[in-house]
Amino acid sequence: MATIYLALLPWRRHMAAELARLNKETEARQKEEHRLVDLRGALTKAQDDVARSPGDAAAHLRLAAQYHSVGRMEDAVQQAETAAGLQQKDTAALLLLADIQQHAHHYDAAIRAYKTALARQPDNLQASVGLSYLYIMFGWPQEADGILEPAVRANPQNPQIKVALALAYLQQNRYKEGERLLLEVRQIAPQDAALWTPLVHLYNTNNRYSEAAAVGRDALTLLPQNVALIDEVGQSYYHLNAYPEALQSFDRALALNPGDIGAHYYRGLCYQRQNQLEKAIGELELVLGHSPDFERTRQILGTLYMQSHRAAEGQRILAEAKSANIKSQERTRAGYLVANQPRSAVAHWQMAQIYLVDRDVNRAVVELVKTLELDPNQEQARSLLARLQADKARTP
Amino acid sequence: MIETMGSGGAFLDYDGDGWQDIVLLNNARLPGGQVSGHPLLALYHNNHDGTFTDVTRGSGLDIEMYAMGVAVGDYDNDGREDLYITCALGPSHLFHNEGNGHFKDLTQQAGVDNAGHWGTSCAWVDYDRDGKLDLIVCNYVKYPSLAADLPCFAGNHQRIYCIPAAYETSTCTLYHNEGNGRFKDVTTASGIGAARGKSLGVAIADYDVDGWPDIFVANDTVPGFLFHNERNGTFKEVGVESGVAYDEEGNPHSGMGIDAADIFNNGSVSVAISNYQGQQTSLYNQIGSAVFRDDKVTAHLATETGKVLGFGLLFVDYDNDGYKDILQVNGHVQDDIQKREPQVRYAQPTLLFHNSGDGTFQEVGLKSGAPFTEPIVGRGCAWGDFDNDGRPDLLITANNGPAHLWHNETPPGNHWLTLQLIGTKSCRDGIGALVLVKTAAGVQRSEVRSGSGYLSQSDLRPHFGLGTQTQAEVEIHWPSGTVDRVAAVACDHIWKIHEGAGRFE
Repeated sequence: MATIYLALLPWRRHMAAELARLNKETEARQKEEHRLVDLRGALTKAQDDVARSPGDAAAHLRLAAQYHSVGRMEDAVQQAETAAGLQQKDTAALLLLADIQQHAHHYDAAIRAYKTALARQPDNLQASVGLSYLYIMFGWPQEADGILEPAVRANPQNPQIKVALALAYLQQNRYKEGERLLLEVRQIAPQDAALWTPLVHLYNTNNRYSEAAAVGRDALTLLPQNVALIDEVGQSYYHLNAYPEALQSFDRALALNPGDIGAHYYRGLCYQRQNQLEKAIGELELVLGHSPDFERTRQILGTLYMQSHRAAEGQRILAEAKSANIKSQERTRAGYLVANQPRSAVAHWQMAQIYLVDRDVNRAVVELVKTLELDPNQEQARSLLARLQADKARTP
Repeated sequence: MIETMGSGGAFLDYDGDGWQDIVLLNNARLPGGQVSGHPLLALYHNNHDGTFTDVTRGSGLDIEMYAMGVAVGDYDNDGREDLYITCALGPSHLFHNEGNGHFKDLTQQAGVDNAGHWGTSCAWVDYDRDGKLDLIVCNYVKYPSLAADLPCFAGNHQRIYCIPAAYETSTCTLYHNEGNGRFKDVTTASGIGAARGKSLGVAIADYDVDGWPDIFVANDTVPGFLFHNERNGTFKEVGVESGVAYDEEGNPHSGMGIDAADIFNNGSVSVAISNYQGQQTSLYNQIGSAVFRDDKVTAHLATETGKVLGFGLLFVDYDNDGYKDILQVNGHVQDDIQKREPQVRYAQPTLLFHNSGDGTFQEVGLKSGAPFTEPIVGRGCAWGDFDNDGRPDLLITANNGPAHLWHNETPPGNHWLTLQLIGTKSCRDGIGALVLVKTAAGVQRSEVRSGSGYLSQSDLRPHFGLGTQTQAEVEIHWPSGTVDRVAAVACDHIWKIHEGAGRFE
């Protein structure tokens, strides 16, 4: 009897696990259904409100928000634009419009909305921060400085603006100024660790790994579930050659988020340093499977294959890495010039072309608009922009 | 940007008196985008008493140029060492040593002006083993003129130097020595021109021991090169496949200085490449016939080199214990870096890593105090035994400052051997010859070569520390195929040997 029971044990365990999984799935499905019912109800109500009061900006704004939450971006934009038109002096609709456009990857429209909001209310902090983050995202940190520096001077106790300015500084390697701001933020909001965790990144970037690990540990007491922070601290340990601690961090990150590719990547590097080549290869194969565009993975993995006497695999993957590298060099060059020659129409024009090669039309449009802002006589940029906009208008 | 990169220096014996003389290269600051002053070369004659005399005037080297790198080699096998000088903002120069302390600029006749390029490190190499020295020239980025300099800005519209990523890539140049004082540009035909990079350093080493010299090139912010000699006048670029193109994290180096040699006396080649601030010097150990692994961390190079911005780097057995050590000179490129990165300095200390012989190194420069601890904006470096006392001395160039000549005062005790090779069938100064020195402690291997370091040229005489050993068996494999073997060679002496003679003088 005991033998039968033991033989069935794995099966029983499997069934129990399967049952638990099914229960969890059912529960999640039910929750989602409830959420959709609620959304539909709120949407219908917002539509009714607009139908009843078509001149009420607030009603249009509520409807825009509802469309946004159910992913009907075109409708959301239309309602937010109507609200903005009705609220000529207010900025709420413009800020929502910017938010919607950004989520829809219509970055140029988002920038326009933020700029209009700032034209209406030059001291609007939400618009300043939102526009600055867009500039930072585009690698235009000096544009962000121009907005944020006066905002920080006017609001010295506002930690959010300081964080945004610090990030703009970090993008320009102005570490000293960035560190000062982030330390001030930590003083202003010691319990809001999410605001000052960029300090960990700053110290890691500056090879101040011990300081990075120390600040990271402090932040983790407040944000124990923050996967990005756990990864960052893990990187500090990796650079301090403290591989057990690093691996512990990455394991913890993966327990919280099994899809954390960065953790797998750094686990691969830890194993590489410990000369555990097969384990390193396993991690990096996994990373490459999820993120085939991550060029460095291909490079390291290829090298590890070569070191493990798997020359055919190594040569194949390294050949791929080689051709990707040329493209990457062009991208790096264009990105650097845009960041460091902010008044150069040529730099922005080159960046637009890089985005087009990557088939990222939305970003290309932003760079083309910037090119024309700096050089209105750049006819190539003008005609390309017109063509892209026409294509966009044709595509639903 | 060019004013940040420094210029090199060389040990050479231009008058053949057996004492190492020195040539220093100069360039200049560029206030307002104009070259300031009149940068000239400087030639110093060794007075054999620890002093030098400036003999530049009238030497034929007193020509204004924006000089970068130098290689010493007897390209016409007339027994006198000639000079090749690379430049920015103008052509390179080939100075033929006419004897009597005079050089003649034969660049145009020879066809080696490297026109249109920003030349950096260079090396003489007889890549086809025809007994005549050919020339490999590293070129940095596309930089046709000062007017084409890219203006980059930090916050508040403050002008800064652009990083190399802002500039377009270039290719190295390879000149084949046709004889009769003429060279042919074989960059394309040899396959060298197929690889685009931003090249700053070059080291020659026959890593696969097939008797044909291969070429390692350090590139700045793009993958490094390893040009494998295909033995038919062409090269195949195998940097990525071999593992030396990137660091262990898949990043290209900000490669400036480079050297390649058998530093652990195990018959394999190691390659070191200096790197940018925070990015650590790589040490590639050969773990297969054509596979290298970056062992910078296990070799204990990473921590100290991560704190500096490395330029010149070379292998030299400073204490004659039989293992080649690593010298690295450092200095940042942004003179105002401290404003943005408070813990980083423009002038930086010099690092000296002692080879423990077990695959690891220990930094001893900082522990030994001055001159290593005195911060300089270091760029080029070369070793040479200028007083022939058997202890390699150091020549270091600095950006916008005087050069440094450091006399090696390591307590004597260990034995040594220095060789001067004179080719007859092979090129006259023996460049490309492989020298094996066998003692009870093991076998050391060195190639006679120009290049290595950064923009500079070391003593062409192969030098071996022997530790406690007092005699050695020496085996010389000449590029011509001739092998000389000499047994029971006495230590603590500079020996001269003619190719095929089978004995030292």
